[in-house]
Amino acid sequence: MSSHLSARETILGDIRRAVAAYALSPLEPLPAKAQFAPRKEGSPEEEMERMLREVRRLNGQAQRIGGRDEFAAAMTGLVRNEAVRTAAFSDHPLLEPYGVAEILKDLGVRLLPPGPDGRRLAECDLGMTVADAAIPETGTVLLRTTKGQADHLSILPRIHLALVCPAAFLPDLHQAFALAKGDRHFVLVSGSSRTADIEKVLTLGVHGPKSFHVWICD
Amino acid sequence: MTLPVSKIDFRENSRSASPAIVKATQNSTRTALKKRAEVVDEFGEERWQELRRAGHEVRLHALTHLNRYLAKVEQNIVAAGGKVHWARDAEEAKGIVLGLASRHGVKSIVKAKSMVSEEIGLNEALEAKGIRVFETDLGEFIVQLAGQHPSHITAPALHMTKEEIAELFREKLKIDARPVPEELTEHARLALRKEFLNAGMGISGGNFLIAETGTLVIVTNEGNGRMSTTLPPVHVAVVGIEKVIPDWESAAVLLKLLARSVSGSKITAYNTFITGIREGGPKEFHLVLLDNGRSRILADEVAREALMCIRCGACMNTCPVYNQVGGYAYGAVYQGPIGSMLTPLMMGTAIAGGLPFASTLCGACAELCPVMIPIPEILLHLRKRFVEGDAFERPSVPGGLKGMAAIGRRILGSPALYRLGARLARIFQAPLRRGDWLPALPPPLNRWTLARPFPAFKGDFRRWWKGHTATAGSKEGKTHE
Amino acid sequence: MEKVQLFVTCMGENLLPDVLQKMVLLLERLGVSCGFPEDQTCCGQPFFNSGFQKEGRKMALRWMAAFADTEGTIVAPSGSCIEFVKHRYPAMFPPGSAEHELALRTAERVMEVSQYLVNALKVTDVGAFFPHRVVCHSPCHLTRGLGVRNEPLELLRAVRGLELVPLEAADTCCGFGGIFSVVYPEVSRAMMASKLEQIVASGADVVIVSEPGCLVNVRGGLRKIRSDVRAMHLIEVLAEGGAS
Repeated sequence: MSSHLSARETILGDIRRAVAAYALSPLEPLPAKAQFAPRKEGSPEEEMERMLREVRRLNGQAQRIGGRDEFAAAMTGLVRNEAVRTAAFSDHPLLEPYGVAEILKDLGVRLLPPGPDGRRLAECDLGMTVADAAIPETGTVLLRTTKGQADHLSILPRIHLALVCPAAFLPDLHQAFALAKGDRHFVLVSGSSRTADIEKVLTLGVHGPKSFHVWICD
Repeated sequence: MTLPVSKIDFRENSRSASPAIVKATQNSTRTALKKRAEVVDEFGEERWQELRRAGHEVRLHALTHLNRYLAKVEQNIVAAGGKVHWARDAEEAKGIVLGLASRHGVKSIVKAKSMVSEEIGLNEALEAKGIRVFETDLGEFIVQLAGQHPSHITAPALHMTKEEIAELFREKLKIDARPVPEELTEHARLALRKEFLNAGMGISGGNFLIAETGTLVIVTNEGNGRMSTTLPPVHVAVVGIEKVIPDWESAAVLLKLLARSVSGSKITAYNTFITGIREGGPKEFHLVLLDNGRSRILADEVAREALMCIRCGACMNTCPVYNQVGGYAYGAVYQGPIGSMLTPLMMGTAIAGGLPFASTLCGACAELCPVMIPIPEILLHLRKRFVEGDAFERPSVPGGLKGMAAIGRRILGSPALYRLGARLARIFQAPLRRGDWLPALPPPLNRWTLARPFPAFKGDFRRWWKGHTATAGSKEGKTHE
Repeated sequence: MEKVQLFVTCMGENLLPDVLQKMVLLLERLGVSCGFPEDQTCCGQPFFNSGFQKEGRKMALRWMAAFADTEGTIVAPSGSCIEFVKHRYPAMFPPGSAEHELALRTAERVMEVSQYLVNALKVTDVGAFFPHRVVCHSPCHLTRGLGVRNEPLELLRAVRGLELVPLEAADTCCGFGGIFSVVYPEVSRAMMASKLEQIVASGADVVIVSEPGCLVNVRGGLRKIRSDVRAMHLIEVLAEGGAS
């Protein structure tokens, strides 16, 4: 090992020599075969059904929400069924028309403001986020990390609720990446935290949220 | 199990493989294969093959331009506020991580699953300095508690029963644990949750590094990949240099291949994409790029394709040899078909030369490999290295065997000696013969007969042929062809 | 008249000569005349695949020389030997060399026998009669190596009286693997035992194993467990009950 060369120089030099035969071939265009044709989407109704079905297939819960009244009713159901005492929600504008804070306060739920130190959410029951996009093919929601919608919001609370608009449905991963690839951090969430590490028995809620809800807001 | 330093005796390991582990292995792989087949069927066979070819192309392209893509990764991560370190070998990598831990006064670390960290023995190095390391992948957490090594790269604890795990939790976690998977999982969740919140550092590996933007991709089903890389103030990612892929299109292709190949899901529960530093996340992001023999493998035109591996474990699941011996028989962190290539490539054939022979070259692995690594081809290449040596290594085969092969070739290669040999075999087999069978043969052929009798050398096709053509000739008289 | 050259294979010739005899008689019955280049010995696969590639190459040259002055398709009752000549021979020699050219020409000529019957002769019904319950093992090199998956089944389905039933994990390796069987005999035995378990569980009287090495393996294994199930090469079944 050369002592006068840095590790970086040694490694890059070794690699350069190893693939010297390819040194002059251009990087672009990438292998044509790499452009695997993304999936073609169905009709809006088909995509809606697909999203609902795929989320449920991954042991998540999914439903359509009409206006503010339906939202309030669904929230009441969620709070009661899952014994929600504390909640935090993102500052995404999509949530404003629903008056989330009032609904939760009326249900006696204590609100934790989404602040910089995400650790406070460790004991929070419900984390509510807005998905920037969804991929019905796999029941996936795309959550772009921002100041008002930190990563902690969707991973620490024991219940994760993601709201998404049908207008934000995308056919495939390729489009989701085109949207978010410039971000410093984003996640694709598909279903509940799960494992089959113990005798191949599927169990939910390992480290991530134990229950995952997707509400599709028309 | 890191990488071995003394010769791996696969035969001995196979003989001492625990039947319980072998059975558990078979149950686990059968389930994984069944689910994989279902989801591939749903995807469509033809589309799946197209996807595999695309995966192969992008991985090979990235490897053959690796220096350029690595430079891009570094440039982009630094621009995003992260730091990039380069490690030529295991010692350098450990030194870098220890240095970072020391600088930040880290007392405990949470780790997402990383094969590379096991390859270099990172946990042991950290623990030797008094730093507590918590594996957070449930399977890894279990084997860590048990003081054992993973027996499969994506299902580390597949060899343990729920009863054993409950006993382990009772003993090590001092809790009243029942052998119920859901309850055991809950115990692990609670135990690890406080570690996630208190750890001074999170260490991860990486499934891919996207050169286009310098993005680290981590996929988990449990969520430990997110918890480890979002809560602690410092995130260190140790990633093999071969994990680099060119762009986001490639990432889409490979992620589709990965989820289906690992466990038959269409997508892993959490796919995290991390580029440098972000607000609300760890204050520091460090990428440690590890060579540890990879650039040397890259120089080998045939073997370099083994570096395309995306660590799905499908080859192990389908391998009939792996399914009869379990993961430990391979004596190293990488097991099954991928291990039979990587271990001798990294450690040399003197240590691991027996592994490429631990295969019948049946090709089942190559059929499933999501990136179409020509595994039997590479195993043959490594067998040649063991026996004859090549540009990378001198031969490791015992000299006597080479002499025997030369003699064997002279006999089998000469028509006269070949026929003489056959005739002698028919004569000398007489005392060993029981009807149509030779139930016992002298060494080394007793290795065959320990499992089943050898057929007796019978008849003589050539004599029959002479008689047959003579008869035909006399029957047909003057008929021309 | 169709003419083929017989590639008898070293295992076939010495351990399964009756299979070879039946193959000759079957082909002749179907109107194919057979040549037998007598200088052939072994194609070199056992050496080459064990890492003795220099020795394997020398044997390949001798083997090709034995067939060089002949014409017609070269037929063997073995997928692995055919695959070896077809795929490995050209790869053994530098492109552009005379040996490489010869290997390419030779590779074009070789066919495994069921491949030959169905794809070249266009025959699936050879007039055989075999009233037994039969399962068919899928030899690794025949199926994955040569891509011959349907041809043996088509031939079997045309045999009168034959009941073809599915074999669990038919395409899982039987554990022979050439030198593997002597380098790691315990693992080989365990793989063979799995295969035998599935064969016995199928309830069949006969298992078709159309690969000399695998046939010797499975037949020996069935003998060891004293099973009544017979292991036969496809040729042996096709030769049954046909007009001679």
